[in-house]
Amino acid sequence: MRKHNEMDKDLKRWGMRVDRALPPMETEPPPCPQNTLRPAPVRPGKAGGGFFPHWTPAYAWAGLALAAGVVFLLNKPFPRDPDAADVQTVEPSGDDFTDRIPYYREIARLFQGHAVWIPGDNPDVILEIEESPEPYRTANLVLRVEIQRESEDGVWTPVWRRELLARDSHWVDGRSRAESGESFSVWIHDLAGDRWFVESHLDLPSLDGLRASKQVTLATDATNTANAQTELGPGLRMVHRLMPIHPSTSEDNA
Amino acid sequence: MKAPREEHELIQRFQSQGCQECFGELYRRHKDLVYRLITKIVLDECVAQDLTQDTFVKASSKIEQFQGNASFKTWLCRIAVNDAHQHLRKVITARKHMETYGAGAEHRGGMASPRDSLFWKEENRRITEAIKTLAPELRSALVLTVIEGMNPQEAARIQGCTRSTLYWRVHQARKILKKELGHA
Repeated sequence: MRKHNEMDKDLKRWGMRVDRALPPMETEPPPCPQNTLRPAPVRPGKAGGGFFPHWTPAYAWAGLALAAGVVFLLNKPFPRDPDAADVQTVEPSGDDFTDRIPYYREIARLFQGHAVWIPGDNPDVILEIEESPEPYRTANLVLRVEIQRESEDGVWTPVWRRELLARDSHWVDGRSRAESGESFSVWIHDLAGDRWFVESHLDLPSLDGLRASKQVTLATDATNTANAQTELGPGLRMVHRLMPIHPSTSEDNA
Repeated sequence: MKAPREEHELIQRFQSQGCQECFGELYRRHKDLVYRLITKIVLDECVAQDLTQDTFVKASSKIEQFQGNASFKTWLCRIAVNDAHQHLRKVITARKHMETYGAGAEHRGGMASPRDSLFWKEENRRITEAIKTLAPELRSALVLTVIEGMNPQEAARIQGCTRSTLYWRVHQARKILKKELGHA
């Protein structure tokens, strides 16, 4: 703790030195883009207009239509357009992920949530046991994080992959392959309504020194899986696949 | 027309009437905070000046979207931090591209400014080098909380994440910095 405080003090001192040395900022504001300002009359009966002086039913309907459009798009398979938005749903590339789910369920049941299971590249399999397990919180999801590279003929192929058993509000620090210098950590947070927030940090010297930090929000679909992809640069992308599991259900004990 | 003194009145008048004086007053009140914040995230005072101006231009064009759920300062800082992240991602992508094509030796990752930048003065260099190794989200989480001293709730709002995510980011940032600075 003491070292922690010492470092914080160093950082604060650094911040103060930077502040003192900063050249002054322009005193005049930048010109406003006038065409984006649409002065509207203050609504009658509402002194001052509050923060919604432009709010009309038309805006409400437009907002609803936009939301419906977004929901519709999120439920469509992703288009293979490199210029498309950063986070999209992705069509499952095969059954290899869902085929492994029963296996993960069994592992979760056997280890009662005390394990984070990270298989390496075939045929290696690495089983990692959590250093500080939380015994009453069982793993309830399987997450796959994958890096894919696009070949010259436009085919996306996995070049790195990790799968793990995890639970809500779980930080997984995967540094299993010390010899390769690989660093891999993931934060998973359960949002309401079958949605999950995942933040992944990768440092992969074996992949041309690839370092990437990405956040995605995933929503499970009718098949109970959630998929998302994020572009990492030309011809490189990160794909997340997630499936909630329930190791304690009768299905698993059958 | 004279600008009002209360911040909510300034915002309201700018929203409803496009009052330039009100915008000018909002700029004068918040520019230094935004400038300081961006500077410590992008580690480049020249870029920070441009991004601060950009932040205010964006704020003025999006002012209709400001609903008053958070304070104006938080809303503004959120735009600023997003701008800073965007800039850093561009720099990181450019650096990777240059490294791939053999021009990386001349490029200082994340730093485009001359060597006489305040960040590279002897007394600042060590910490600047360490902060430079942090990913954008970890960097801004650390700057907002540890360096600027904002409370976690406000910092999480600015980052657009939950408090637990913010704590995790700060934890990660500290861990990396401890290693870089030899505190561990």
